[in-house]
Amino acid sequence: MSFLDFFNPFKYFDVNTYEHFFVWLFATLFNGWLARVLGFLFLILAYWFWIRREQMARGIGFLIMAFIMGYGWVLFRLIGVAK
Amino acid sequence: MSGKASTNSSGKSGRDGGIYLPQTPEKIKNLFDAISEIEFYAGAEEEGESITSKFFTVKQKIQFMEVGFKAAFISGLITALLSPIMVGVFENLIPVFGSYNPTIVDQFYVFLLTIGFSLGYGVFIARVGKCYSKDYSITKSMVNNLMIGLTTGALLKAAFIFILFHFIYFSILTPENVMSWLIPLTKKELLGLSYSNIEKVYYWIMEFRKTFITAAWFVVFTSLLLVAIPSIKILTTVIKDRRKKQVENL
Repeated sequence: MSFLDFFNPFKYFDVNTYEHFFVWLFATLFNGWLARVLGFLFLILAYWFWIRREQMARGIGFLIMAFIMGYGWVLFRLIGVAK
Repeated sequence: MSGKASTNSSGKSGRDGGIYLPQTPEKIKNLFDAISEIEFYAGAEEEGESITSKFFTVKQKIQFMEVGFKAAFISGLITALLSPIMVGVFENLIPVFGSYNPTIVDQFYVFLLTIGFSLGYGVFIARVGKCYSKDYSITKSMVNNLMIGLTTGALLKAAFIFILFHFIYFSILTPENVMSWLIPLTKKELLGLSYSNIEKVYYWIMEFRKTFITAAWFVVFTSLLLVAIPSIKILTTVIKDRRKKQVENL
């Protein structure tokens, strides 16, 4: 069990800090202008790598990140951080 | 790949009688292999004389068609998955960037995100368009087979998604079915459902089911786009080639 304890975040942070981190992440990264800027950045990078540089794997990787930036808010709703 | 059957002093094929002959051809596994092969043969035919398409064997023809088919089918399936979500965003049913009221910029972002795969594949495959010259023989044959596979894949995928989305609308997400699923879930209070929000969830599903119809037609549009991008490039090359020939003949 000590091996799994290593992965338990509550060993390093208390419950409130951990919860506040996700609330902060939701409020800053996945909501509003920062999400838009990062989303467009990832989308431009996806198109750049995929079409211009012909590196499909990187292109798809950035496209997935662009997807997460756009719809990450829904994920936060599902895990109960966003109300 | 290919090698020279008869070598010549210049090291180039065709000009003094040398000809490229395919050795044991490698299997064309993906789009990169197919486009590389086309570019290689286009280079060979540009430098020398045209290589007869008889060297393009049935096995290779099937491989090229298979690659084109897979490219159209896979990219289309991803677009198809994202299409109802995109329509949901446009209909204010799904939030994007944390907002249920997307701005023009948000809508543009979602649109690009959805058609990204089809557009990416289309632009990438369009590279072969510049290899489609009247003077080429084997290269033209390769491009034709790739395009046949691509068109078949795109049309089949469009038909499959069109039928599937209409089936979801008309047979799966019907008001009767949705109610029959929601009531037991509400009784057991699963997925956060309760008698206070069941009505809201029901109306959301009823609104969301409409997105499948719009998404079905959108998938047809993206499928046509995927085929149209390389086709337009090929057509442009053919027209340029023809004009060049006309100028030379003057």
